[in-house]
Amino acid sequence: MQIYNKNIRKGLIRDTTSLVVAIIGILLLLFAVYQLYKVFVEQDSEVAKRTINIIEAKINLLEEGQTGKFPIKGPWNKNRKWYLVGWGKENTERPDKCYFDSCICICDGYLKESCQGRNGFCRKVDVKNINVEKTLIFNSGPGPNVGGGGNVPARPEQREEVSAIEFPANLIELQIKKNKDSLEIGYKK
Amino acid sequence: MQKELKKEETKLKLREGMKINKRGEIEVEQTIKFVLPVLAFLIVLGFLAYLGFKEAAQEDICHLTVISRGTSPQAVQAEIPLKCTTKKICLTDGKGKCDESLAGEENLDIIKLPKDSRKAARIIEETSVASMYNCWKMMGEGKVDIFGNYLISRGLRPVEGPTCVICSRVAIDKGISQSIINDVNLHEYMRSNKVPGGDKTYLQSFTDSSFNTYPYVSTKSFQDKLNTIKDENIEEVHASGREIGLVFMQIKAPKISEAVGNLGSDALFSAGGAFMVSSVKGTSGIISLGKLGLKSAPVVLGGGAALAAFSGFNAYLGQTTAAGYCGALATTPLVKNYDEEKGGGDQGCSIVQAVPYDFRSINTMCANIEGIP
Repeated sequence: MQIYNKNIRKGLIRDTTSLVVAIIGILLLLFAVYQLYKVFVEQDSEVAKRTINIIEAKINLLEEGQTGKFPIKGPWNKNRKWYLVGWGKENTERPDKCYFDSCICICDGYLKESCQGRNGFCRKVDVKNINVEKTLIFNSGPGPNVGGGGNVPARPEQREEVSAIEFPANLIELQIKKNKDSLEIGYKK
Repeated sequence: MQKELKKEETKLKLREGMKINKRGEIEVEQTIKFVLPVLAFLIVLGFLAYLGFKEAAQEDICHLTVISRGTSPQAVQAEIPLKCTTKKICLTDGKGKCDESLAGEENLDIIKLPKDSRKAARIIEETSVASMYNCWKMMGEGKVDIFGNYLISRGLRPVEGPTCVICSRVAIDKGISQSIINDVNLHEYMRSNKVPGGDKTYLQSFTDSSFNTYPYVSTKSFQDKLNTIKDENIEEVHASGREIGLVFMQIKAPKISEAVGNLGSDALFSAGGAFMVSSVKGTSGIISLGKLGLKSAPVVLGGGAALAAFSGFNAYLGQTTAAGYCGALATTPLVKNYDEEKGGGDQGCSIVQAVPYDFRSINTMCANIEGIP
């Protein structure tokens, strides 16, 4: 009986050890696969995140009344345009991510909804208002779905002026002026 | 009889006991065999990370994505982004951190220069030249079609303009005196120093082993084709700039012989198509590949007077050298044939050079910039 109990104990220890080692091995493998996956996908989001971090750091280094100018490379994708947008703390249209503060965001759209999702990266700024230079944006796309089948003509190209900076495929020069209660963000390209 | 039976029984039990013990030993042995290698692997990985494995890994990953993109089938190639992160290097006297140029940037490589002027100048030379060489090697020495297929697959024409990767940014802190910068001699460093771990000098590695001298580039030879940057705003905006970008650019060009011909005898050319152009010391210049597409277009030498705003820093910038390759690029069969509408073809020009890190200078040369800032 004693020997029988000893056998069970030894077997348990052996099996548990094997199980633990196997779990560690599988976890390491999954980690390696995930790292490899990150290498090849989600680069736009990574660039967006890095860019907003740089902009936030540059803003924090500015003194009141100071203007900073610096070249910046933002995310760019032919199929998906990225924008730098900003909202003051009293702007009710700001994304939920900003909570009760003013914030600047880089998103794959210039509307609040674009910044709410996983492709919106926002950083809080300690000022009351944020004014982003207006840009002329050209919108085009398929016409409205009227139902009933048939060909739907494409919507004619529309121009819209929005307070957002669209990132091009190369560099822009961001110009940021920090005032007492506001932040003015402009650009040159 | 019974005694013998009992003896046998005891022996059996003992044997079983021994087996159990052996099993126990085997268990320990097995545990050691599995767990120790894993632990050893983790320790080695941590050690390599401590030594800067991450940095070497980043360069290797970039190179991997370059080769992968250049040689993968078209269907896959469109999904391979260039995972090349711009390296940021700050050369400082120990007090500053290049705040004027690199404030807020992550993963800075801060190199403290010694107080000795000559030694400090040597380190500036070593850092600048090594950055340029590493960029060239990482991007496949200009012989891999990195952007052609990718741009076509994205619906862009490869001849829209050069596409670039900013490999690194080198900033010199304002605390570094002008006398140190005046001591810097990049040309001589490239000509007389060997690549780490190799037999050839930097100059030989960029071109052909037989070359060990520089050509003299006269701006007069480009007189008809000079396209000087005349924007007055450059002086206003970048008067305090002390930063260069090591930029790799590439463009597909069906009439490559014309582009190459424009460089004339003022550049070193090897039979393999590699070349090196060195601006005259004291003047600054950047080479823009321009639109070498459907119609022949000149290779232009830009900059010069407009860059005089980099007073003091200009002496360093004026020594920057461009190295490149014009000829057949390794590419997939899909784009080997040139198409009037889509571009393509397997002829192209690649170049790596140091340029002032400002948006105008870089955008003059680069229609598209890939990689991670």
